[in-house]
Formats: sequence, structure tokens, C-alpha cells
Amino acid sequence: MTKDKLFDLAENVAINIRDFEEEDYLKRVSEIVDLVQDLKNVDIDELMYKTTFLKEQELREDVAVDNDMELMKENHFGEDNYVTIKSEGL
Amino acid sequence: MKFENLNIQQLNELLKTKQITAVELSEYFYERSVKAQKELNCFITLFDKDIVMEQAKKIDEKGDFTSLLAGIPYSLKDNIAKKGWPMTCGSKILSNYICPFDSQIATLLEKAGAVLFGKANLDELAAGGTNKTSAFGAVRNPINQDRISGGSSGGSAAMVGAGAVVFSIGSETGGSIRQPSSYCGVTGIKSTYGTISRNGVMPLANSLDQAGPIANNIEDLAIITNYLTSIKDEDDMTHSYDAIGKDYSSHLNEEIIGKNIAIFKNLVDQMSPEAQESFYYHIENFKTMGVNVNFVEFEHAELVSATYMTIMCSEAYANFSKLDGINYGVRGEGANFIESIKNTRTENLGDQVKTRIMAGSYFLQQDNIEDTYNKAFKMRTFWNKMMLKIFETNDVIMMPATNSIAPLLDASSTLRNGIWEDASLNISNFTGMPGLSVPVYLDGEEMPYGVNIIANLFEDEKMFPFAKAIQEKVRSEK
Repeated sequence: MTKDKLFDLAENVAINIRDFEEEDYLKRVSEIVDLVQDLKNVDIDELMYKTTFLKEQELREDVAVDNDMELMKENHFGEDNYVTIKSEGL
Repeated sequence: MKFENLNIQQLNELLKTKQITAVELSEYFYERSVKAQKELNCFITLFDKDIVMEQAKKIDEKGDFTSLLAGIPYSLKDNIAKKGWPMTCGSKILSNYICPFDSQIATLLEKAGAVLFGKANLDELAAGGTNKTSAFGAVRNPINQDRISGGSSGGSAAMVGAGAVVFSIGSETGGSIRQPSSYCGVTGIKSTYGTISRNGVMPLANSLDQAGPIANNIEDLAIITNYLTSIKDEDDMTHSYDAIGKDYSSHLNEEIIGKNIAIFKNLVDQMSPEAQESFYYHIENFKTMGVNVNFVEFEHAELVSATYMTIMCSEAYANFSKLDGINYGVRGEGANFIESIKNTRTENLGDQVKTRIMAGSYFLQQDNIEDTYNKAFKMRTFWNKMMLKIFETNDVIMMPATNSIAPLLDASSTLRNGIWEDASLNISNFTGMPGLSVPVYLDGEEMPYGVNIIANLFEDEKMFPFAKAIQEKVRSEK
């Protein structure tokens, strides 16, 4: 996390960071972002294969498709509707 | 008579048989509330005495104590709406906000005849675990005032522990009912997601938030939960039709011989020796009662804190964008519209909230969202599957609720109390599964730990007989 990035984020959330607060907020926001680095570094597919408690193929498939657009299309739009919406430029 | 030592059923009996009036009961507890407020700073708004007595007088005039909550003193965490009263959410930015409507919770409790004493202190916007971030000052622990109450429902847990009210309604996003309950020696429950309406509850992270009661004993917790289960309303996530008609009280004495408890051994092994000792003492007791104990593994528990912070900060960032001083709340000066909003937020939000919404903004940026927010949701799905698998062969899961006793007030604390405590508490919020904390004590120690009991979705009732067994064991040894 750099100071420039911090100021970008502050602008995004409509907050002014005053000069005397820079270091403090840099430390605080970095602490959270660093914590989440563990999640960023993880390979979800790899993680599923390494799991010891749940070995079912079904589980790996379920997790893999949860955020998949194909599934969203089926669940929320239906294949035909999705194509229609898409063709209208949405 | 020390009314603070009686449970709701016993108080109701006294009211029903006219051994005491609702006014007398409220007078007794009001005195205790004034004292608790002075010592613990547990209320943000303690109603004037005549407001409280007016409610109690109406209950007496009606003379109907069929409802077990009729005439019973309680409070609402100050992020739960009560029409005509301030709802600050513990933040300076909402310090002038008066609620224009009742939350579903307040409506149900008013209908049940409970007497509202005021609004409980909390971490700013419920985004904390210490109750030190409230714009209205920190809450002190009722057992040892040098220690924190925990949070974010710290005011609620502290005032119940101090016997200032019979019960309080809190809310949690990542353990904010169960963690302060553990620290303050009281019981608290997060019901199955959607069982209790959040209509009129200020959101922190919608996909995790749930409101629930804090009380001094497990019997009261069951009764209050019965009254809070509501029909579907403006909270789209309320799907309580699966819980309606359930009488949690009737499950308190259910037989537990032959039932199965699962324990995440890899997680408990990492917690403090004291937390483990107090926890395993009660697990051994369950074994002697004929309960089966099964050790299972919490897969990738080391990612829980990261997943929690990602989801909570991201959703908080979206939710708190409305706090701009335009429609309501405090408004800052400014030469133009944008400057006014910036000044409002800069001057009236606390450091921790600002930090978390900046982090949330970072996670949701196009370059980061796939590796943070989307991954966090995949991890949630993974743990959901893990939990469902465990519940195929187990009735409940148990863990220590907290890794330590309540820390000292002057101890520095920014993030949570360690990733193992996060895993114990957050898993219920990730999966929507119910969790309940019941206090236990190490031999000779005054400060409690909590045992966190988790059940499968819409099987909240399964937690109660286990919690009651722990409560009885603790009481028999005190």
C-alpha cells in the first residue's frame, strides 16, 4: 500500500486524510490488506484438491461453478432471456 | 428479593400472582440501570424514568400477563430502530438522528408487553469487537471494570450482566453477540440467518448480519427467541416460515444421551491453554453424560479472518456510503455539495470505520475483486459444504467462543482477537447457521469464557439442551 493508493481510496469513499493522519491510516489499511493477502495468494482449485475432510468431486464442482456466469444465466435469467438482454446491449 | 437473580418465568409468576406490579419491577431495575450507566457507560440513551414508568403502568392497567414478557425490562442495541427515539449506531454522524419508524423487533416486543428502558452502547456502526470505538465512550465489563465488555453488542452484554435489565437485543456480523456475552458472563444467541427480521436494524454487512437476544440464562434466551421469530416482512432475507411455531423452551430439557458433538480439534489446539482447559472440562462432562464426542477438522481455518474482513469491509463500504449528511444525520459545512459530504464524513466517522470502508473500497476495485471478494465467497461456499457434511453425523459443534478472558481496557486492539477465535465465531455468520454462547469459568477465576455451540440451519433448538447442561454444571459448582 502506497500513500498515493491510500489517497485514491480516501477519495473513493469521500474522506479527507489530513497530513498528520497519513502514517496512521497507511498502517491501518495496510494491516487489513496484508491480512487479505493470504486469500489473494490462494489457488481455490488447488485448495479444493488438497482438502482432507471433503474429497467429493461434487464439492469441487459446486464451489467451482458458484460464481460462474453460466450458472447465473440459468438461475436468474434463463438461457433465452439472457441472450435477448445481451443482444439489446445490456 | 433480588429480582435480577430470577428468570423471566419466575418474574412472570410474581407479576401474574400480583406479588409485584410491573411498575415496582421497573422501579427496581431502573435504579440498577442508573447505577450501571454511571459505572459501565452501557447505555447511549437511558430513557427518563417517567417514560419507562408510563410503559409499566399501562401493563399493570391492562393486567394481562399471559405474555411471558409483559412488564419485563429490556433494552435495544442502538442500531435497532425505535420510533421517536435517537438511533446513533454509536457514531457521531448519526448523533442527531431520530427514528421515524419501529423495527420489527421493537414492534414484536412492544406487542409482547416488554418495557423498553433505552438504547445500548455499541462499537461505532457495529464495526468492532471491543466497544472502545463508540463515539459515546467505551463500555466497561460488569465483572471487572478494568476490562472491556467486548463488542459490538458490548452495552447490551454489560447491562444484562450487571442486572440493569432482564434482557437486551444485540446484533452480530462476526460474533458481536456471542463474543461480548462470553466476556461479560451472559448468554447470547445468533439464530439461523433470516429467522429474526432485520427490518429497522442498521446494516453492517447484509450477507452476515443477524440480530438476537442476550440474557442471563438459557431459559430466558429460549423464551425471547420464541417472541422474536417473525413472519416475512420488509427484510427480504426473513424466511422464518421454517421457524414459526417452534417453542425453543420445550427443547431445554431434551435428552442428550447418545447425541453427537463435533469439535474442531485443529482449531481448539491453537487457542490459549486457559480457553482449552475451560472448554475441555465441559466436554469431559458431556462424555460422562453419555454424549459422543467426535473430532473433526476445520479446513483452511487460517483463511477465515481474511475472508471475514474482505466480505465485512466490502459490504460495509457499500452500506455506509449513505452516511453523507444529505438525507439524515449530521451535516458538515462545505463550499459545495462534494466538499460538504467529504467534511461530513471526515469529521464525523471514527478511525476504525474509515479504515474499514477504505479497505472495502480497495477489495471491490476491478483489479482486486476477483482475488478478494469473489474468492471470499467461494471460501464461504466451501465452508458451508464442510459444515453441512459435519452435521450429517453430528447434532452440534462446540468450540471456545473466545481465545481469552476480556482484555484490559487500556490494551491496544485493532483487529480481532486472533484468527482461531474468528474461525470459531465467523463460521456461523458465513453459513447462516445458529450459534449460542454460554459462560463457563476456570476453577477459582472470576472472569468467564464462553462455550460456543453451533447447530445446522433451522435446527436452533438443538443447541438449547447442551447449553442448559453446561449452565447447570457451572451453577452446581459456583
